[in-house]
Amino acid sequence: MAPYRVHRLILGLFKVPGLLERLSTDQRAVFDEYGLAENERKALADGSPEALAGLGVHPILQMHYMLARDPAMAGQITIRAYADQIGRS
Amino acid sequence: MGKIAGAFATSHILMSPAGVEERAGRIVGGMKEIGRRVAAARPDVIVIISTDHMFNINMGLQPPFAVGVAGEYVPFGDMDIPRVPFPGHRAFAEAFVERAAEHGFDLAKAEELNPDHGVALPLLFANPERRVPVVPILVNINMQPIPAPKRCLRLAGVLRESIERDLPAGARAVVLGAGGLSHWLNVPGMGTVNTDFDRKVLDLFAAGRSGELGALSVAEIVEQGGNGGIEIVTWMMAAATCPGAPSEEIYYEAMPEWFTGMGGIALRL
Repeated sequence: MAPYRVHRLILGLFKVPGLLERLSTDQRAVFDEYGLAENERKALADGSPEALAGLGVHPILQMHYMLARDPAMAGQITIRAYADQIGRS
Repeated sequence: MGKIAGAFATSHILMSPAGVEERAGRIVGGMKEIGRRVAAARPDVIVIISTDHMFNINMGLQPPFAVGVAGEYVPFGDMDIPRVPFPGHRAFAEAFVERAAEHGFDLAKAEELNPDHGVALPLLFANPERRVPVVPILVNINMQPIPAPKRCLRLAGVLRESIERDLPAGARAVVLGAGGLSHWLNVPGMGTVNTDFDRKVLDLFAAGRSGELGALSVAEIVEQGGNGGIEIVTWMMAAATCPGAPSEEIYYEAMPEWFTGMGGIALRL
């Protein structure tokens, strides 16, 4: 299991205002803020399922991280295509 | 004295239908059919037993079970689910927590809960007008120790007692379990759908024998159904509020493209 500091960062992506944007624009500062070790920085910078799993990131939080950083994935896991069918009997 | 007017279980995700249009259509059709039957049951309260995906229950605080006691909920909004408020049922939620305490279950109460897709997606079909007040019960399957299936079943028995004794006379409750079926999420095996396991589970529910799954350990269910398949405890709990009742299969589709088996049932009360 990855250290809590890694999970705390990922958990913050959907909760801490501006964190996701700062991860894109100033990754190093965010990693500093959460006190990440070098191997943790490399894994999160890589962001692949293999890198995250190798670090021991919780499976659900792997999903959070990839959803937050990959709009294409978010475009797959969505109800948008069914919007006109929901709410109708 | 209240009564259980309907009990159902369903998977709780949808993904892009691209390339799987026919099966996705049958799944949505099944979810809509469950919604029609929920409406036909004319519930005064919907109790939904599901899981949170670490948008609410995270590592900062890790209760095995949590019950929403708020008067209103705003969905978290994952999966593009509209963040439109729906009502809670504070009185019944509080009464259930009190009754559970009498039975040795110290349940976490949640005043602030932004239900993610685990709760909010099934309700898009089961409570589309957002008129029926809801009590969300969350089973924490994401942190160790995961509540044992037999313990989940005991809690479901308390839920039944609470519906019968704590709701006003004539009040009607629908119980809806949400999650599963077999899936492996971001662990080896991801993309696998264990149709044999799913079929075994569905057949046990159909025969009114889902209680037998309570003899399985968490590890045994995870081995056969995946780290996401343990969500079937929510189905087991819904069925356990109507002990011995057989169920009708509303839909089942193996969806490896969505990394999961998808299913839905209605208990025959």
